[in-house]
Amino acid sequence: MRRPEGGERRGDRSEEVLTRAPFLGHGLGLRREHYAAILAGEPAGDWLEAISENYMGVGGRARAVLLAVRERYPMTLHGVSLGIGGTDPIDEGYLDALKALAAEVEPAWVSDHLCWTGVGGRTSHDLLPLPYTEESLANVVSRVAHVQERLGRILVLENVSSYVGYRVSTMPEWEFVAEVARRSGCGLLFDVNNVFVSATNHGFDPRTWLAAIPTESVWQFHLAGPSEMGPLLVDTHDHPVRPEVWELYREAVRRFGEASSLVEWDDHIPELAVVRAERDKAAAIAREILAEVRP
Amino acid sequence: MNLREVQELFFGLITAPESVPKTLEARGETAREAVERIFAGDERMRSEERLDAYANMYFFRLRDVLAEDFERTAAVLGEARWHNLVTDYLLVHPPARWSLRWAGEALPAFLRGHACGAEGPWLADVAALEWARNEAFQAVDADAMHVDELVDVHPESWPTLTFGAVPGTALTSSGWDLAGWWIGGGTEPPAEAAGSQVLLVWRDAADDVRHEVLRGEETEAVRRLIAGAPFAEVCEAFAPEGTGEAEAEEAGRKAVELLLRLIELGIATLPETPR
Repeated sequence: MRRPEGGERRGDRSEEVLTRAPFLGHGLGLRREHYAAILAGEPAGDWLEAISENYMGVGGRARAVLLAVRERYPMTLHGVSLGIGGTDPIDEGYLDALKALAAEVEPAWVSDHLCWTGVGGRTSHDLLPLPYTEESLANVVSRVAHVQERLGRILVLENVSSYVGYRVSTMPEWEFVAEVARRSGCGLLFDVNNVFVSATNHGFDPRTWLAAIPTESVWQFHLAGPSEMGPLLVDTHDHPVRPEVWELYREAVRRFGEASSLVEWDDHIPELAVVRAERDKAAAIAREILAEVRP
Repeated sequence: MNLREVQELFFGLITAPESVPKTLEARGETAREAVERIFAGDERMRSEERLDAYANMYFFRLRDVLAEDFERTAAVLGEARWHNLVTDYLLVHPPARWSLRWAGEALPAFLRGHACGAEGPWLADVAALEWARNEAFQAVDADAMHVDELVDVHPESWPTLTFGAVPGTALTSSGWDLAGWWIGGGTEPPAEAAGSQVLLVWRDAADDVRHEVLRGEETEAVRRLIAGAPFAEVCEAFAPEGTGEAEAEEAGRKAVELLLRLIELGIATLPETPR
């Protein structure tokens, strides 16, 4: 299997732990609709991100494709069900299954979302926004510590899109996210589209985020296209990346430097070449901006 | 209100049977005040409308995922009745596990007691077959056995020999000819089966999910074999205890034939290396 290069490793333990993001290049989300094209050798960028839950405890064709693709590409695992901001106990069975998958796939890193997903033993299968309070922050930080210990690796967390805010929040989202990273040592997956979506929905300047986030915490960028639902923008991943998001991505690259980027497309999925063209654009922008800032 | 209470309020609102504004209307002014105190809206959209966006996404996501898992069942019911069935189902069986692939686990049994199922009692059997096929498709991998593994088995070991089945293998039964109906692919009711039709569902070596009809005594024999019963008990399914030597010999032959067929189909497994 190809392993990512770069990144710092902590200590001299036999199981080395990455403490800084390796640079994987510019990749795509692995989707069932593209399995055949990728297996047939059609290029899919520099690396692929697989949705963890689609392969945890699963066999058959999905697992066979995942392992075959992993032979050809660096990969990360991206979860949607960890519920790191939840108040139910963390599902240890979930962590066992994720750890087993990670042992098999050897991802460059494992990521999930900075959100909660359910309560009282029930799940919404959605990425629900947290109130940005000290209580919420302490809860996340403590759970990140547990997950990182159980997985034996740094957890990378993604900011989510939100459609409702909390009057009870005592700090803005960017401050909360930055504090989670500082206190827990987790990595951040800076979802550029999610920042744009939330900024549009709540009426703040998305560039505020850029100054607030510690540069060394950013392991990855996500890019995707949202949909309009009345006055809301919704993170549907079913459109091309918006011009405003490309512009914000430029500024993010300027601020955070070289970080792996990934284009997500989850609904009305077009052929691989269309998604790859978005990925090529992300790569070109990164090259252009990095050439400017590294004369 | 602490974090957990906030999450309980949020979750209760977005999973309620009615929209968030209607739910708040029913709960009264105190509930609405709590929402306004905790959640933020603006002049474009009130907080309860914003929460309602989550409520819609919760329902429609699950409705669509379940429609993929129960494609035939949903097609028979049509859009409106499928929508109503899922609405009622989620109130009784909200998702509780970390993958969407389990969201429909209880739907076949639920449909059996639902008005939509009562209209066509065969439909719950279709849903059960679809669920069994989904389970087989996603089941963890395991090596099916090869016939060569039986070459060195001592004849005296055969009665106590046990077998198994690859994960995801299941038996479903129906009073209707689901096997024929499945091939036809229509939405009309299937023909009634002569007695109960038992289908063996499994995933083959090429990772394709298949099902086939079991007939007569082989149903019980397969049930015993995949449950790990000693081979002697598998044979007895073809000739109950107390029958003559010739019948017992014939039963043994049928059991071996069945075993060979299950090996050929890629279903049988060997839990332990036989001696």
